[in-house]
Amino acid sequence: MGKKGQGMQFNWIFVVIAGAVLLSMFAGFAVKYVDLRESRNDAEIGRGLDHIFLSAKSTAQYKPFDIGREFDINFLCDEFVINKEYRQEYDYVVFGDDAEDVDELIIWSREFKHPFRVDNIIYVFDPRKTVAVSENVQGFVEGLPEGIQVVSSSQADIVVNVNSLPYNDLAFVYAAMVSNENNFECGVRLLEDKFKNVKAVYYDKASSMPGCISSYADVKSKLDTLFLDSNVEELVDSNRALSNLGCGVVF
Amino acid sequence: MKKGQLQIQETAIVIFIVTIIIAISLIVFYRYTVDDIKDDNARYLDEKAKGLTEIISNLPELKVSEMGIEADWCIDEKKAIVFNNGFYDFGQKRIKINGIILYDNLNNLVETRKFSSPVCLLDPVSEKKEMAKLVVEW
Repeated sequence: MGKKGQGMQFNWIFVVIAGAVLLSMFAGFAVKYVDLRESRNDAEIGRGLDHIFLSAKSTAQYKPFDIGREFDINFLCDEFVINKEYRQEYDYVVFGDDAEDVDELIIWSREFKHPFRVDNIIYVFDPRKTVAVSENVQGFVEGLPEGIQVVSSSQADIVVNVNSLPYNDLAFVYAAMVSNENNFECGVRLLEDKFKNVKAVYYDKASSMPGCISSYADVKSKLDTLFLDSNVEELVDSNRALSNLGCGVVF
Repeated sequence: MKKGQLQIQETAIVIFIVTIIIAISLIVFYRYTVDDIKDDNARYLDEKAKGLTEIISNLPELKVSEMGIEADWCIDEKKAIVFNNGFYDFGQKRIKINGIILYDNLNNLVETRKFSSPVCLLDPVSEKKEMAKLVVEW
């Protein structure tokens, strides 16, 4: 090979190396940029959901969540994860189940009272699933938002065993319907804590109200023995009695 | 130096400079996108802090309730006084209503931001209503 041939060969090697360096630089940038875009999209979905949850928490309502692109969602105890990457923490009661490649979710909230309002519970449901309850529950179908298919137990993806629920309230039937075991247990625990906190506020309020000492003491003793599975009628009557006596009601 | 070698060196320098320019452009563009995402995040946290006023004023632990029916936008003064501020975790914030501190976890922060929203405050004993400011500092 002559000197001219060697020069040409060196030229080609140089061009190939320079091209490879440029190409790998572009490829590296493209990969990083795509990762960044995906993280941003995940954050947008997570924040969009968080925004809907917060507005649903303030007032009981129904909202479909449809963003036109598929994503995975996983519900943990106090956070949900979008596409296994973006984690959004929350400190409110949300019942939901893991879903893959979902592009639409049904979100609704419902007041939970016992006998005073404890919280607005948020439910998140994948509308591709069908549901059924093990036995007839009054108001179950009427309380569901649009887009949820109720079928017979043999055809349903989710069958709620009403007898296995910790409390006899429609709120827990819906909770068991939309959530996984871990999320359900966690949400129920959070709701129990929330109930204790609201009850404590009413107890302290009854203690700070002037006059009508025996009537407020009556309300306080009933609040003391009030649990999520107890009857509320006596407490409601005692509270109403305060109004009849011209004293300020506790709740 | 021969003419051929000189040409190769020239090409190498041109490619090197072009590569550096492209690399700098890509880094600047990437950093701009990252900064934009950080701004988005800051805006989101600001909006969330402002949204807290609506959440706070709707908490059953604070809202006026008579025979189980809640009054819109009215906070029960007695409830506000006995509000258990250890139950909720609102992050590094201070939340107060007319001097009543509902939540205080604003330590070691030099610069704070503030957002306030008008709410109605009801004294359940005298049944007197007054306009109050629900203030969130973060």
